[in-house]
This record gives sequence, C-alpha cells and structure tokens, in this order.
Amino acid sequence: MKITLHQDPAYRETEVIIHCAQADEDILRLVAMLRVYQKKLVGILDGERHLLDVKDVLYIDTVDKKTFLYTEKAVFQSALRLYELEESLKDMDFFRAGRSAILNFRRVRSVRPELGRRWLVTMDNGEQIWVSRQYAGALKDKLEQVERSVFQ
Amino acid sequence: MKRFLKGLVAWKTSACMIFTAAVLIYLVFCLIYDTREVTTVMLWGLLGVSVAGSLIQALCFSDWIIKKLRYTWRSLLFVLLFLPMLSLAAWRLEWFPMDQSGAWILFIGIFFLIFLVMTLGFEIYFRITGRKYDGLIGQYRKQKEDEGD
Repeated sequence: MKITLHQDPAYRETEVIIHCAQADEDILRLVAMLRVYQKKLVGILDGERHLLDVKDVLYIDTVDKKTFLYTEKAVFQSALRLYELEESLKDMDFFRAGRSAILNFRRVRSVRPELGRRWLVTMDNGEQIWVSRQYAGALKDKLEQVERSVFQ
Repeated sequence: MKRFLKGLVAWKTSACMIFTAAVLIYLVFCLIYDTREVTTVMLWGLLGVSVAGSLIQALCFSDWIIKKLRYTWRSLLFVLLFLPMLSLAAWRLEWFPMDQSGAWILFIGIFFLIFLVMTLGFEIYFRITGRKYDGLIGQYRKQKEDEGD
C-alpha cells in the first residue's frame, strides 16, 4: 500500500482519499479507524454503513468474534476489533468492563457495588451490565478520577 | 499459579476474619455463662469452622466457581451449606448441651440473627456507596455538558 501525504497551506480542510481496486475488509477497517479520530464510529446495519456519534454509543461488545455497537435505537456491527476500539476510545471516556465489553462512561446512569467485588452498571437505556472483578479496578479508577474532577 | 496464590492469600485473610469473629462471639457467651476457661479443642474447632466457612463464603459469594447467580440464591446456598457444617461442629465438639432443644433453637436463632445483620450491613453499605457514585456521575455529566464536550 502506498501512502502519500500532500501538504499545502491552500487546503482548508484535511481530506483523506483512498484509491483502491475494491473496498475490502482491511480498507473498511482503515476507514473506521480514521472515523474514530472524528469521534465517529462506522456501524453496519442490514448491510448499510452508518456514521454514529461516539456519544450515542452506550456500549460495545463482542459475540462470536464480531463486534457490536449498542445505541438506544439499534445495534450495529463494527469492522473494528474490540481491542482496537478500546485503544482508540479510551480518551473518550470508554472503559473496559469485561473480557468482551467496553462501556461508555458518559452513558452510565448508575453504578452499584455488589458482593464478590463486582459492580452492576445501569446504562441510560436501563440495560444492566456486570463489571467483573478483574475489570472492577478500571471502573473504580474512573470513579475516583470523576471524584477528583468534580471536586476540583 | 499467580491466581492460585492470590486465592490462597484471600482465603487465609477471610479465614482469619471469621476466626476473630468466632472467638469474639464465643467470648460473649463465656461472659454470659461465666465460663473462665477455653479448651484447645474449642479453639481448634473454631479454627476448623473458620477455614471451612471461608471456603463456603468464597464458593457462594464470588465468581470463583459460580459465575452468574442472583444474590438471593447465593445467600440461600450459603445458609444451606454453612448452617449444617456449623451444626455438625456444634454436635461433634459439644458446644452446648445436645439434649436441650432450647439450646439448639438459640443456636440457630443466633446464626440467623448474625446472618441478617451482616446481610443488611452489606446492603446498606452498597446502597450508600452506589448513591455517592451516582451523584458524582450526575455532576460529572453536567460538567461535561456545560463544557460542551
């Protein structure tokens, strides 16, 4: 794959153009990765690609090696792997809640500690997700960070 | 291996805590019944119960073996396993006169009372912690909205 970078002060907006014979899975993943930097995620529903705002995604999980983006209205498939999304979204208030799930902290309605050092998280749509003991540390760190930021 | 060692340390800590609580409860009864001496058999018995109790606790209230189960069912399972084990220890180690039904009723009553107090204690703690964090989440979200983020 050739990568060409044109720099010219005349350009008013940065534009990425991909020339390819066919938009295969790798190309679609590349596009999806680029979208993350615009706080957008590419979701596929019924074969159609939709551009989603990161803030509209409640959580992301994987089932049978497929990644799904959950919004209040629908569930979209993503071309990206969970670890790729985790890496790209960690600065946007997403955190790992389990081996196969990432939650959007901005869309968390309430949290509750439970026995066995697990946490029960209720999302904005009322859906409840368990944060396992192994990943409870990430949630607690996030809550402590919030506590500091609120009382600053 | 690391997981096993971590589990072992957690088991030891839990057994120590249960043993301390068991000795404290026993001391209260010693005061009530004016008992001045404690036998080593009693101490070994309490230690055995503590070690077994911490195993039952880990089995019922962690995701070590049972991954998904409602808290109510976990509590019921704990009672079903721990109470017979405790009763067996009471019978074998003769913690009280075995032929007195009143003593058995008191024993079981105290078990359920302690269980109830502990369950309520955890419930209250979890609710208070949950509310504290819910308030913080609300403030954080408002802060981010105000910032236009």
